[in-house]
Amino acid sequence: MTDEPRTNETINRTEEGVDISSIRRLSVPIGLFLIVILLRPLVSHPLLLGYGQIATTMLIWMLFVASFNLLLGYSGMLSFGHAIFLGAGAYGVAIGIAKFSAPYAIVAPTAIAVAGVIAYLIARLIVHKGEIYFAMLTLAFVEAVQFIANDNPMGLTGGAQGLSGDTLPAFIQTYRGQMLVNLGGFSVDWYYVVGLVFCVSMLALWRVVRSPFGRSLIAIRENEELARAMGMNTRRYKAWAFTLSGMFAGLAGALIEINDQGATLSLLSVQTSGDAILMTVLGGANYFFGPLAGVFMWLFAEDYLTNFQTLYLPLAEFPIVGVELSGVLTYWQFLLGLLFVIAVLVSPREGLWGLTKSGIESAYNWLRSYQ
Amino acid sequence: MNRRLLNGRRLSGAEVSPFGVLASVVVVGLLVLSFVDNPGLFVDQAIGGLVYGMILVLIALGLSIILGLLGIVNFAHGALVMLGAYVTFEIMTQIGLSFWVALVVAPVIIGLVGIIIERSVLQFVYDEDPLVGLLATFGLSLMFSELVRAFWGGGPKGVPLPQVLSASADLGVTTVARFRLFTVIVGALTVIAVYLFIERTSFGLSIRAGVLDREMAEFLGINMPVRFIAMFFLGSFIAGLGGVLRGAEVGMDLGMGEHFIILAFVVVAVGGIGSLFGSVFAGLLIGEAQYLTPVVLRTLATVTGIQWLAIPGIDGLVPYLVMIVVLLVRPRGLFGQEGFLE
Amino acid sequence: MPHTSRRHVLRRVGAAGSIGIAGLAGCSESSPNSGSNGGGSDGPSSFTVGVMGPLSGPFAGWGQAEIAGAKLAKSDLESEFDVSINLVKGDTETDPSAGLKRIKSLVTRDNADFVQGGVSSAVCTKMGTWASDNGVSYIASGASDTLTGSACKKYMYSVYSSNTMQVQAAAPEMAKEADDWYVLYSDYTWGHTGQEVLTNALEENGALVVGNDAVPFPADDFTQYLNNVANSDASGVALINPGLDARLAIKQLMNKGMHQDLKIMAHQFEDLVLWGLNKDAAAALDISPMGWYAGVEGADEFNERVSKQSETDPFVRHYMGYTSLDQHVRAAIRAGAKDAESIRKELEGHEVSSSAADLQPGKCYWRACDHQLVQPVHTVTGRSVEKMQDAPYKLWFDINSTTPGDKLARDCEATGCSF
Repeated sequence: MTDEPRTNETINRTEEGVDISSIRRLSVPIGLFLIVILLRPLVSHPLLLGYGQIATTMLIWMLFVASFNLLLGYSGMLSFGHAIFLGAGAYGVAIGIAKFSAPYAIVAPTAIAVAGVIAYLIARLIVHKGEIYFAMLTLAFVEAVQFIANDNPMGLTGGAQGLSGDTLPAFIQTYRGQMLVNLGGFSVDWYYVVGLVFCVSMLALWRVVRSPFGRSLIAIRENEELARAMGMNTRRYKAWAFTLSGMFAGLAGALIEINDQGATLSLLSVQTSGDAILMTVLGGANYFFGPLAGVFMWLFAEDYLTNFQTLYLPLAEFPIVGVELSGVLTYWQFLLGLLFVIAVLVSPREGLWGLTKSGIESAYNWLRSYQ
Repeated sequence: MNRRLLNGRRLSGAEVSPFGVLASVVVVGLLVLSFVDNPGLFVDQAIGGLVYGMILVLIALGLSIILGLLGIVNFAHGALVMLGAYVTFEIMTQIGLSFWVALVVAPVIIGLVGIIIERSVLQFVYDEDPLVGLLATFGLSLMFSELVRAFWGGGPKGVPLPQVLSASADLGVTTVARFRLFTVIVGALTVIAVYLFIERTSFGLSIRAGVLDREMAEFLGINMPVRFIAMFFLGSFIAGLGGVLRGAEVGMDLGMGEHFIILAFVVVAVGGIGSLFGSVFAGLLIGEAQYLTPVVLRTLATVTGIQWLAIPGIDGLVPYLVMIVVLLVRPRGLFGQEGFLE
Repeated sequence: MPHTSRRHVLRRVGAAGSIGIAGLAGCSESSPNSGSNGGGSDGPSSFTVGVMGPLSGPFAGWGQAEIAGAKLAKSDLESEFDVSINLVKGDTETDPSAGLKRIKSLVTRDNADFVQGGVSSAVCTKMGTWASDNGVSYIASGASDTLTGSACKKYMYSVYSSNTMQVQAAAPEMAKEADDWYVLYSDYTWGHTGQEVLTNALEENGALVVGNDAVPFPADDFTQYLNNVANSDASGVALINPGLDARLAIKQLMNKGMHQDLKIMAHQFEDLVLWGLNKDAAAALDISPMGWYAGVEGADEFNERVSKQSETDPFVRHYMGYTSLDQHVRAAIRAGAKDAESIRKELEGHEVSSSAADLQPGKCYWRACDHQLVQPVHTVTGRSVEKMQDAPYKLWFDINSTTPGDKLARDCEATGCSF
């Protein structure tokens, strides 16, 4: 994607944190904090989704998809294999707890490290191939990993059943869906623990993206030949990008293991990777917060629309006419797919977040011009 | 760019390493050993593998044409195959026409769908990064699965085979289902027809010229958009044809699209993007590998006594293993062309 | 009302443990999260029941059938007792992650009191684990042995006769039909267990397994495995593949002309699978064990109601949907409570005596040691095409034998289940 005017825009936008104003410098941490604080109350509102559990899943997926965007948005690499690392994190933790009775504090970092090692090995093998071949190879790898997990080597992965029993760490208690974390006598809601991990890791990701390493990735994305001509070892940068994004995905996997009480084979599926691609592009691959918006949109739509039965017009309290929508809305994926295609055609990298931002900006300018 | 679309690139002697020679010797040795061990089964699987390989070729051919000639990664290809199968179901069970009608009509309908895709979505992405086309067609494939689910429901469907094709054919050394033989014949005819069309007609010549240098071709008065539409029709037509045959043989269900797109990509990637001959070769190779690998492994297990060699279900993994090995050894696939999508 | 202390709560959760959280929800009766109660001193009078199953995708017919069965039970229960039952659906999408997500929302948002359903054993295991960890009673309708074996959970029950039970019912018949069998099994848990158990059972009954093949799941082509079968000495082929794959295998078998000489067995067979194919395929089926068949004695009225109200003709899933809801609600009424522990005390060891008992000829009871509904298993064989009934509902098979559950279920120690 080497469109000239967009290049400048892109570099400007990704440099926004470096502006003089301190508010803008803190915009990312503040944004993350706000997301954590506001997401669950927002989602639990009876008019919206009506229950808070899904907010935790959203946060974990946001982390996963943000790690994926390090590849797609910042490095320009399309990978169908990102599910491998989500699965590696989840399975690593599940195996450690269920089969070896090890404490979470040891198992989780190990699983993340394993995810990183796998990512590095795969990256060294394939990262220098052409884009399409690279994408196809990641597809082959994720299918292969899923096959191996299904094969239940040494009885570790539980085959098609996944790992479900005995997979919660000791410090978790759960009753009818409410999960608490016990830390030395204090009980903290699991949602806030996830929120804390989310904020910290997203900030780390933000630092990576704004570092010279991150800027080099953007340069590679914009014009790899030029970067190589300038003496950059693009293969090494891409491999490290792949590894880092794999590790963050592994972290998301370690969290999902607790959230979903175990590891399932579908975490390693092509659909999981495909969902990440959809959410990233829908949200906006060009922006740090873009994928987060995509996750929210997708998961919200999925839950909201599949539960939508009848639309009462004009108001639920005073129904004049009720439109039976439950049939049509079960095909919400069609609508989101359509939105996705339109997004890809109109501006592949802007997505919802980008369009919203430019919409707000143009509204602001229009207002200003009316002084 | 597409001069050598259909000619396989010869592997010169200098390109084959001693390691390659050793590997080939080992493979041949294993095959001979398996044949000796159980000749009847070996022959059955060898021919079965060729037949299955031809089915893979038919499925992948449309994708290869579009990718090779137009440079578009059509992720919706698998969905088109699935749509072909479901349209067949509609024609045969709902409208009540015969299989032979469906065999002709369904691919045409899918070809038209292909034209719609080309005009509404793909004509805007020809000049962009190939990833954009991939993403756009990825979204389209999602839309198509939901459409199919909306119209025909989620349950699996089937159609009855015509009487003359539903029994088995005795080939002397082995027995093959007649319908599969029919599929092989249709596949072979399609490959030949495509080759003749692209290489031997002036229309095909103008397409090849236009893809090499679009601006020049348009200066010369060649109407490129029409040709692009025609190629997309052709690729989608063949996808639909594959869908008809596959759907009639094994039935249709919602997972078909995803399953076939992955397989088609594997075949095209192994054969080399841009080479039609490569796709044919790769399809047959993967089909044979998938059928013969369990036989070979089983022979090895009995001969050496190492039982775990006979990994159950390994054949599901074979296409991906082949792809990984081939692409590591030959980064452009077996017959791929330099500079293509790199 | 389980009394909990902080110390108890901090102890690690075992495979079948359930934890109460001190100060969080307390007694399930009085917490806002435990579903509606409706007053009345002689027990609960309103229920919210989660009915889970694949509502989309290739197995949607299965999920719909379970819901239709549950709806019949709902109307029967509501007229027999003075209760109101609200059924909430959850789409498992045949995927454990989706199933987990839906059961969570059914319990937390819709306040489901207890849950039933599930086709894939992996989904059932996942939901059962969550349910037991979170104090929710769950009746699974998955087929694998592990649900009442190594993966058994304190508050999970299985309404489907297990893998082993069905194999034990079929094996003697199979040994009579053919001496040498080739086993094709799907490469996942249910297939693996089925293959092991079947091989042992056949050998115990004097037959021989001459070969087996693991078929990827889902499979798109059985040809190479059928080649293996053709090249072996087998006179019978056992298909341990879930519905759609078995369908494909039979179709391709017939295309190759192999059905004339081979006896065909399809494990844990559900007739919906073949209704979409032509009748010849059903006629070719020689031996198949089934959890329930519409052709049992005394099921006519049930069958008629099903064929009127369901999109599919009656088969085992309708029976299971009906029985699960029936048993859950009755247990809650007897216990006077809806929490998982009270239901467990009522279900364990209980013998089915309600209208659900009319659907199976023979004793049905919930075994305490593994929570398996021990019930008779039928083996069926395909009728000849002319004799197949299509109206008012499909009956394409004849029952060969019905074996009481007690003769078929594994010994408690052999299940590997401990709560």
